[in-house]
Amino acid sequence: MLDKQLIVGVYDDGDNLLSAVKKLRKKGVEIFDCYTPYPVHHLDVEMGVKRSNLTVGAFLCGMMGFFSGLLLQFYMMTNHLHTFKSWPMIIGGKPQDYTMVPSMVPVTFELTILFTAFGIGILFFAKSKMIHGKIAEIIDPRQTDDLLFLAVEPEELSKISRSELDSVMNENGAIEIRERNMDGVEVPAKVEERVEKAEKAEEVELSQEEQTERLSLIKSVLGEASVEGKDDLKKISGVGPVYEEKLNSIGIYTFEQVSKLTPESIKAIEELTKYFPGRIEREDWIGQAKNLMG
Amino acid sequence: MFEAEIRTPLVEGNKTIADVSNDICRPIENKPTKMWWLGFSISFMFLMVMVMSLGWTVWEGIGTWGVNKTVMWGWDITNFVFWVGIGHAGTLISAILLLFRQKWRMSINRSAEAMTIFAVLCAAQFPLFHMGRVWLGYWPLPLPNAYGSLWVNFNSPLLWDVFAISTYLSVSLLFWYLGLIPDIATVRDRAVTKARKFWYGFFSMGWNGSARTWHRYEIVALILAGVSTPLVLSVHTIVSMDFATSVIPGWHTTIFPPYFVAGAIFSGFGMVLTLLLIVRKVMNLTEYITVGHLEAMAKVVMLTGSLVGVAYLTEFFIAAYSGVVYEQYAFLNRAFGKYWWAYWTMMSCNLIAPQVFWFKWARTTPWFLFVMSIIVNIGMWFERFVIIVTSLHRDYLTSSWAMYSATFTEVAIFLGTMGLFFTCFFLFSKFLPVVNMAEVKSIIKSRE
Repeated sequence: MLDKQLIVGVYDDGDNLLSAVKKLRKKGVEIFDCYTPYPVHHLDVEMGVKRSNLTVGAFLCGMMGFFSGLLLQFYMMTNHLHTFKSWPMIIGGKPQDYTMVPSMVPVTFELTILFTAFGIGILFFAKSKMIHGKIAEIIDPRQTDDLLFLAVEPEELSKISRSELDSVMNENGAIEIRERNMDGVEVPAKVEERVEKAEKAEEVELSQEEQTERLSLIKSVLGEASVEGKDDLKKISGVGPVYEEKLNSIGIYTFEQVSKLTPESIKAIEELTKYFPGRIEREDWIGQAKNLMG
Repeated sequence: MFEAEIRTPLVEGNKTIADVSNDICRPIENKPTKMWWLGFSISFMFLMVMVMSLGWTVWEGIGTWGVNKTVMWGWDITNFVFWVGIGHAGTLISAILLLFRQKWRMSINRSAEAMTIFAVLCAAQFPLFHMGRVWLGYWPLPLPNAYGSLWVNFNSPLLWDVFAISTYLSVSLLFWYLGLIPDIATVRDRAVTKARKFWYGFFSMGWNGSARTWHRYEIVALILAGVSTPLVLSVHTIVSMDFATSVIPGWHTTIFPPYFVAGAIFSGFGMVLTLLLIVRKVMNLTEYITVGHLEAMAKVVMLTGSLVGVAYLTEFFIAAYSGVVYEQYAFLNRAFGKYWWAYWTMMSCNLIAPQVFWFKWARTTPWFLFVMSIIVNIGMWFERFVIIVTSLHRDYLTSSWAMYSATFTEVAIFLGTMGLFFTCFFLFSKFLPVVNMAEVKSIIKSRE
């Protein structure tokens, strides 16, 4: 899957993705798959996914549990199956034959449910080819986080021209259209690379001069502020109490300062505070700070 | 899409999809706070109290407990029923509310289900250790053995309980884990440390959010909800049969199953409220677990509390109406005998106190809800104590009459299971997303 050729539309809203899928299907285009961080209502129907017959599997598992429960109790408590090897267990003079069926109800019931639940669980994992430790086949690390992806195979281009495909995706709010493994187009960084990058950033220890150099850069870009005019930086989503302290320690106290961040100063902050690279941009602190000021 | 303005949004603060991941993953991706360490240490201390007091019980024997020949079930079974009951709210929220398409369940179902599992673990300690020789605890299982046809007794409600509770625990665990998989995958793909990437990768089972997998996933969730619903009703029904199938006046009544189920949901919601009121403050989730959620839960508490109250009164009426002197004595003795204080604590906490929820102020004021949730917890603990001890301590033979009071060891075990419960919960809140991110992302725009 990781080396599969795909044309991928990137969306940030489920409704947009859904309407794009509808339009494409109307034009006869088959959708390879969609990858979404949450279940988009009705997407499976619009994609033309055949209703799974897992329900039948669940029923069969349930029946298996039901009969296992009955068999178990007839085997152990009665002699109808000729299973009393030495002596019957008579407890409180209660009967040892089919008349104890009412007593069998609870255990039979519980086993029916147990078999149904675990049967369908196992069937689901098998059908979806999921198992512990499997490496996920993802086309972008954000497909489980905040972006939705609509993937079409290049073979579908026989039914629709490339420019038309792009325009349908764009008209329905695609924020980006990517090509995957096609003509050497760059594939977004895999998780492993991001991990390496983050770890590298953590390893860098700054010398005294480098620290002062970066502090003065921050001061010159953002201007000075002090504890007196302090804003509650924790209001920026992504800043916690610990990180707020770190920001204060390098002279950042106000939303106004945050709103003035430039790429160089962001890099300096990341190096000084050992923050995850790229997260300040990703979480749009500048925009957030502007909102909080206004 | 059409949005009805008369309804308040389920999640406040105009969250975007990215906000949900950032907010919920924060405790997992950062070092635990001081509050977390404080809470965890205290819980862990109590867990150690449980280990020591259970160890003492095994070492010295059941004689360390206050139970005697007449009152042979005391705090142990009281606590067992108390904890099993608490678990029921989790399944109610995740399964029954799913079937009723109640979308407000989505930001609280994860923590409520976690609570179910931890509560059942706590409950299991009591019957296991009351057996005395705990290393033979596997004997209630129908295992082939060398004693000829010596099997377990399927006529016994205690055996039904073994099947019911173990099915309940394993099915709840499966349901909970299935719901966790997409969220574990989210944490995996955001991971910046190797350890986190490995472990969350391992447990995410290769989840990639494919629409085809979501399609099957939703079917499985629906079926699991469908079987969990009768399961949760059956569990407390069977627990109640431990009592109802006996011939003890005060226990031998057909009202027990529905009355126990209502009581279980009542006490469970009490505990859910206690937990979530703390969680939403400490973990800064007030925008996800809103006052709207609290109000809905308060309504459930009021309804089930009233149901339980009706059951109390019905029991009294039936005892009087039956004309059986033993039955009549059992109930008069409950209300006006030696344990009158337990009975009236139960009545005031369970029947009278929840009636304040007729007022909107009471349903929407967090500190007051917290007080009420504690009252409900206390009341439901006393309900089990009343049912068990007052029915037993006056036997048919007056020569067997006895009193019962708990010993230090019994109290320590109970407090210790609180430690087990909260230790598990604190670990859960550090390592797993406490709110179902995938489901919440699907409702941040809707107002249903």
